[in-house]
Amino acid sequence: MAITVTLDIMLARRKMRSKELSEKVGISEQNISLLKSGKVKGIRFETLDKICRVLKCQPADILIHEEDT
Amino acid sequence: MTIQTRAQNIERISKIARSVCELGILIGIAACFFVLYLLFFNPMTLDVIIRQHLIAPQIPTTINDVVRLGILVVNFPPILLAISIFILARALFVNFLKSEVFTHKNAQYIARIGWIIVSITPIMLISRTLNTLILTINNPAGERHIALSFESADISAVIIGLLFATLGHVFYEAVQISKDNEQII
Repeated sequence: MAITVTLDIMLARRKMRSKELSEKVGISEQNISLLKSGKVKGIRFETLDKICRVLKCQPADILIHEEDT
Repeated sequence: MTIQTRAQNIERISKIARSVCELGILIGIAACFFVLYLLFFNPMTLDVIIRQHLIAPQIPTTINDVVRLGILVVNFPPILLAISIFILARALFVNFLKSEVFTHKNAQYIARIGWIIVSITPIMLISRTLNTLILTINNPAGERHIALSFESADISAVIIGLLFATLGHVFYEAVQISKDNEQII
C-alpha cells in the first residue's frame, strides 16, 4: 500500500507504549498493533483525532504517502 | 430487543428449521427407497401410483418394466434437487446455530438454494412432458400423447428462486463490506 504508518516512531518519541495508547484512545491493543504494521484497510477520522490528541502530533507525523515503485 | 434476545431467537428458529430440513431429507430419501422397493417387489402398486399422479386419468397408458424404469429416470432428478435444497438449508441453519451468521459461505448457500429452485421449474416441465410420452409410447399409433403443462406454481417457484438467488448475492456483498469495515479502526 502507498500509505505507510509511522506510529511506532511517534510512540518511541513520546516514550509511550502501545498498551497505554490503546487505553487512552479507546481501541484494542490488537488494533493498534494492526495499525502499526499497516494491516488495516482504513482509519476513521475520530480514531485519528484521538491518536493525534494523545501523541500531540499531526496526522502527517504518523501517516506518510509513498509512491508505489 | 437486546442482542442476546435476538441471538436466542435465531438459535430457537435455527433448531426448528434444522430439524425440519433433516425431516425433509429423510422423507425424500425414504420416498426414493420406497419407490425402488415397489419397482422390484410390488410393481402393480407402483403402476397405480403412476397412473394416479403422473398422467390424466382419461389417457390410456401401457406400462411395462422399461416404462417404469423410464418414469423413474425422468422423475428422480427433481426429487434429488429437492433433497439438495434441504441439505443446503440444513447446512445454513447448522452455521446459524454455531453463531456463524454473517459469512460468505452462508451467502453462497442462500444463492445456491435460489438457483436450484429456479432450475427445478424447467426440469419439472420436461419431466411432466416426458411422463405422458413414456406412459403412452407403447400405445397403438394415434393413441400416443405428449402434453406440455405449465402451472402458476411454476411461475411462483421461479420468482421465489430468483428472490433467494438475489438475496444470496446481496448478502455476499454485505458480508464483504462488513469484513472491510472490520479492518477500519
